[in-house]
Amino acid sequence: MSIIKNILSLIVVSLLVISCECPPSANTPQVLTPSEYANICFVNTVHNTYSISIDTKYGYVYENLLFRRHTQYEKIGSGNNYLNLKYNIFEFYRVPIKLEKDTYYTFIPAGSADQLKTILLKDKVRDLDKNHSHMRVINGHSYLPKLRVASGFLPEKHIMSFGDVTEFKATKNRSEYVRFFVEDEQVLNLQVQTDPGKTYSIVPFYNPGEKNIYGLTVAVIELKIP
Amino acid sequence: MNYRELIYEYLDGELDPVIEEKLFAEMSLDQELRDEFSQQVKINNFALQDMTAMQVPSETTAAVFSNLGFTIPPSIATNTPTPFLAFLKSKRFAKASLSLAALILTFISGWWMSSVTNTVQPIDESQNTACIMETSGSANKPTSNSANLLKYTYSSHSIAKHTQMASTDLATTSTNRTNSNSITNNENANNEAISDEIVDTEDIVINDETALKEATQNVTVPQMLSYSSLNGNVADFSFSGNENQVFDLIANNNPDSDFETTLYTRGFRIANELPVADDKSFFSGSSISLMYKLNDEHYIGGDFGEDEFYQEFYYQNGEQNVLYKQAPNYYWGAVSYKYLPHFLRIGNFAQPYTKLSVGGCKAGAIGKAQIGLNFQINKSLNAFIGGEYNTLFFNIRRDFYTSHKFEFLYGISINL
Repeated sequence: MSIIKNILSLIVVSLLVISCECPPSANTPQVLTPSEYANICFVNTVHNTYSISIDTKYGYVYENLLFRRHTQYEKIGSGNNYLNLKYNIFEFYRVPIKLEKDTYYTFIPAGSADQLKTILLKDKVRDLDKNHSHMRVINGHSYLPKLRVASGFLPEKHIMSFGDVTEFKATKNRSEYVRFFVEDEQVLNLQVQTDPGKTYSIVPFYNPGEKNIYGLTVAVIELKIP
Repeated sequence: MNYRELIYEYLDGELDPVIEEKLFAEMSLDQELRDEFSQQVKINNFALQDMTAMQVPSETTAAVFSNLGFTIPPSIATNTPTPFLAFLKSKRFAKASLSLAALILTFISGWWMSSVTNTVQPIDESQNTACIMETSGSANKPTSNSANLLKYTYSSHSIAKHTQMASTDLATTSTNRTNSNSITNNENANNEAISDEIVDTEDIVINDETALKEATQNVTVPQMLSYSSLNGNVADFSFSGNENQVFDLIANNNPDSDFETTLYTRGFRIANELPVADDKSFFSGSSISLMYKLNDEHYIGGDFGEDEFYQEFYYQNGEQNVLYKQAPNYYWGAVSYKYLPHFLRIGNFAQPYTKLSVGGCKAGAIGKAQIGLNFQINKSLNAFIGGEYNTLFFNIRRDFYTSHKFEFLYGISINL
């Protein structure tokens, strides 16, 4: 009996040692769950899509994000990863990214799906003063060479190109006006009601459905830190 | 002239052509008559439609004619479909007859299979009795041909057992094969009955058990029926040619063979599963095993199959320690031991069994423990159902993982 037991043990050990496939490289669908995460906020300003889905190495982060809408900070596997943007089943943008663990990001795909431009920002939102509201502007309008933004929390005549972003600044008033100018012509005058302790991103972008000739529209995003 | 009645006669097809001409001449002048004609034509059409739609039962027709003192005209009797004929034409009858035919076919095939099974009697080798068997041709005139060779291949194993067939079996053995050569018995119970003399006889029925026992006491097995003859006269050992024995060759291979082949598949499993499954092949979940009989209760052999193995493990991927979940399909092989405890046998039809297997696939080692019930269909064919607990051991960079599942399985086993 002991001989049989020994033989069986030998077979098992041999099979374990010589097992020729490393399971992670198996050619089969896999569900990967990371152990460490970063956080990322998506803003869909891709004007010729109805909605987009954001896929990563670890699976979908968000599905069917409508144009002009944004997500809150979504958990995403940190380290080496990729972002894969899909419109229905069509993948139209894929970019490798490296994200730091427990860090906050904002990702803005802008323009059209066939000529996409993207902005990835690292959001330093942790150390903000909880007694004030904070605000920043991210220029997501990819078709304007220059956009001048004027507001109480910004320096006078602040000029921005696509992808430019201001730092988070504490707002002075509960109701903050943000004005947008193109070639000294005011295109939009936006009033934002703010609450203390909250953080806002103001994202101007192109919307062909907008009435002004520049198609300028603005998304106001309240960033909720999980 | 009453034109209204002429219209009736015209519509009934009984109007004289001359009068018909007069009728139509009158109608061309008289609007009221034309209206009447038109009305009657419509009524006539409606009546015709109603008549064609209405099927008068033949019984009603017969009753009417009977009350009137007439017999049914042949035209009516033949043209009116009876309910029985209508039923014969109905889809319901078609379905019923098909079902009945299938049922009859099932019974016939069952009877045929059972009769085929009976042609190969179980041998009680402990009883040293004489032989009886059918042979065709003779030792001196071998009639070797391909058919006989085929049968010979089949019969080579069982001949020896036939040569020692128990007397009780002999007494009930009935041969109905034409041109069969048989060892005859003496109906009057003398002791010289059995020999290897070739007798052309149509039907030989051995029904005197006592006589036969006595007759078979001192008879030695003829050489032509023993194994030593396998080298020589093929024809001596061939059964007479009919389809039953060819069927035997296929379905009833060798009930006493030491080898058993089993084909089985998984019905359902209790295991972790993935929302995204691997592309499974047709044979995924199926297995085949070849077992050798050590004795009536113990078998040893091997299993081979393809199955889905759920795996869940951590793997350092860059800076991330990633949890992987996957369920790939692997081919696997195992050595197996099967135990059939006869003391647990349920009647003559069910036999519990247990089976242990140890083997591997390309991901690692596997262990299986199976328990189930074997159902005997005939001497060489069994069906079974069972449950199997299955474990996969695999290692990822010297971290060992296991994956467990329980499966319901079913299949058939055939003695080779």
